[in-house]
Amino acid sequence: MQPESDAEYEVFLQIGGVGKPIQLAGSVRASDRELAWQCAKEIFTRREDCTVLWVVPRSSIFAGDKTLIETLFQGTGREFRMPGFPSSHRRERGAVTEL
Amino acid sequence: MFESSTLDTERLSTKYELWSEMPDGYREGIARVASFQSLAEIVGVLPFSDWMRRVPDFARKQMFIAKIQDEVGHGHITARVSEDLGVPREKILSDFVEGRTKLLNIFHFGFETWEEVGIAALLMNSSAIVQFQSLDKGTYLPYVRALKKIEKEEGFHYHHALDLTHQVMTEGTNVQRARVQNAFETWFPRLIGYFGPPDSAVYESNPLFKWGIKVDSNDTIRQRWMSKIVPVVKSLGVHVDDSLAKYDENAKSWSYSGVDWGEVKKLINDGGPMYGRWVDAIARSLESNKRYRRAALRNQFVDAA
Repeated sequence: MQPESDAEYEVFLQIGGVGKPIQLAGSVRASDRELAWQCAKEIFTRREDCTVLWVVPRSSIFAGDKTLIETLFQGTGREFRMPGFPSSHRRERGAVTEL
Repeated sequence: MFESSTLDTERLSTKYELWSEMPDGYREGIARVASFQSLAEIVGVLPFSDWMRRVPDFARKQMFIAKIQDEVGHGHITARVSEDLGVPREKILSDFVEGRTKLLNIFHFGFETWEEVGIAALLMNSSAIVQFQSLDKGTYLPYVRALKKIEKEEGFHYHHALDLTHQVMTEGTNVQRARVQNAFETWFPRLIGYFGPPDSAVYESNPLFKWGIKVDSNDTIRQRWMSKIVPVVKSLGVHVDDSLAKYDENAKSWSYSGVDWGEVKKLINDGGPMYGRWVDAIARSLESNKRYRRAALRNQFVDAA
């Protein structure tokens, strides 16, 4: 993703209480960050109890390129990261319990 | 005809983000859908804001203001979707003011009495919700996310309209209840028309449908809406004549009447009773807010004219 303009701001917020994830809510367009924050407040938090509100210029976000993105989707399916690996040892351990 | 098939899951399974490669014409198609909705959200405010000084009690006025704020917010977020695809937001409104985009039929009318407001809003909100619940299964994810937020808030509006109608029907006079009944008989055919003309034999070849921007056919959504809203309206004490809507147990579908598709098309083309006033209101607002747009978008200001 190569964002082109710095007039778009992505909006992240925390709703539902302190400690909840800060999540992407959408975007606003404004000429500066203070105005972007106010727009985001108006559009995205009017009906929510919001505890954190971030606006980030879209151009500041680095999301990798096509080749990098393709390498993302290999997180699962690596047996050596699974607790049962290697399965032969797991069977021998038998009744030793988890923490 | 009304059930989805395995082909449908394939049709809807490729999803797109703003940065995805899209089929030729997809970008323009979704931009048009999103900008059309943005216009509808904004113009849809006007029959309500028109009543702002006549709302009979303070609590209702507060709920009105909340609804209007929500709708303008919906206009903003759908404009954002189409803006990211290259449609400047000013164009959405200036195209309307200059007659290049048309309004759906229901947006050409206002409310003549307070009793009309609740039942009309109930029909309009429920239609919007059913339609958005279909569209939110679509393939363009920024639009899908916008719809999910919009649906949630439309739910509040639906409950407000339900409450208002219920109040008139249970606490109102006979004259007031008759107004609700009349308003229902006036608006119900309009909302049937809102879902679009009956499915043509070739609706599946429509590119918007093939790409999963449009998820269900007009008839599918219309039937779904009728199944939901007719029982609700009846439970409020409104009479739904068989001639307006009747469920056919054999065909497993609703039959309806009262919609002249030629008239609907003519209305959309020529403009209905409130069309001139709405155009005027938007044109004046564009003009009077010009300086705020200049301030808010200093470097990216696009002149509406």
